[in-house]
Amino acid sequence: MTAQKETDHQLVERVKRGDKRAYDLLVLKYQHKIVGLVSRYLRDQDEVMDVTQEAFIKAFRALPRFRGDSAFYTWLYRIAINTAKNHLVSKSRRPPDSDIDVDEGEFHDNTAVLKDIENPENALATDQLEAVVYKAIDDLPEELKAAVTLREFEGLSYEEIAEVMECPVGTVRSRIFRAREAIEKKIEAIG
Amino acid sequence: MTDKSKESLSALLDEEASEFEVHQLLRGFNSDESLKGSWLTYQQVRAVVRGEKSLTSDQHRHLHTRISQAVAAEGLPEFGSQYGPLKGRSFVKPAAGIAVAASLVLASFFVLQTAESPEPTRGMVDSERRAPTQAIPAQTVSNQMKSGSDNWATRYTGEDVELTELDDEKQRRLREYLNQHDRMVRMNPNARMVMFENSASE
Repeated sequence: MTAQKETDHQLVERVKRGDKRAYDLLVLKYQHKIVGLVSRYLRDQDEVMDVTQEAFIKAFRALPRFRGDSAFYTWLYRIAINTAKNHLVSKSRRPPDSDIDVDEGEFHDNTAVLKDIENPENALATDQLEAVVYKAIDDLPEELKAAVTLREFEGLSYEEIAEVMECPVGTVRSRIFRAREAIEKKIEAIG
Repeated sequence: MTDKSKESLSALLDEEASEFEVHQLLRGFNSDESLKGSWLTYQQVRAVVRGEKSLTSDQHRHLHTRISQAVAAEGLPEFGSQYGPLKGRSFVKPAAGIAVAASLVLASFFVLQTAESPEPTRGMVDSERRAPTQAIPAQTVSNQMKSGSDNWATRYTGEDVELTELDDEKQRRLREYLNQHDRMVRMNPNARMVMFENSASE
């Protein structure tokens, strides 16, 4: 079982025992991805948010039927796609012929579609955020920059980064956290 | 919000947080709004560096609030008897108490019998088999345990035992055992033990 699947499995088990906070955390974990997915089907920002919300509610109601054979995210992904398609049908619009594969979806460049849900104000904020993030990464001390770059750009695990950087996993974890802290402070500074 | 919880948050984003940290974060999210804010910022940064354009942090926060409120308004889904509340089972607690007490009495009886038994027990070494067999008073056993003269005794007194964190595999097996136990108890409240399959490696 992957680390992701294991964490999600624990959270799902908690929800099944009545802990709604665990579902809240699952929402926080995946709402970015689900928004990205839904926005490939819908262009209007309000619709994207409505359908994303609906998908999470449907998943919550359907949790008793989730057996854990697949990863929670894969299951949620399917629900979100069906919800988006049903929404299009209900609005008498034609859903796309083919689905986006869940694995492909992870790496799919959704820039083109997401641009459609941006208004000029959002676009400005996004551009500004992008500039601040890249500047903040550039300004990081070398060891923090290396750790966060290997994680975010290369997608390496902590263990792999520890091997590359020849340091303990705990140090990698701490460096990545400190890097994120520094970036967050720069973002807060722009409001 | 402490640096420790934020470090756990950062590890969670990378799927590197331990189960204990996830548990702490669950409590943290409930009481500390800034933790949620940091989480959304971390995700926003990730989206930027990976070239994914997304909603703004405020929009995500707003969306999350909407979903949370909608989920809060929902009743808990029906998870069947396995997870359902134990209705009309007021005898469960007393029965559980009796079962635990009975297990303790049985365990104590077994320990005393083993100590006093004139017959060699399975697994004894030859030298122990050749030793004169006589009843050993419980007090003597206790003294032996304290003095650490027997290996098994030392092992169970807790002295000289170093506590170490369980490795991932053991944590997984413990969790699996606890989940299985929990399910069994819910199905049959009188059952208090489940068999855990030993792996060949143990």
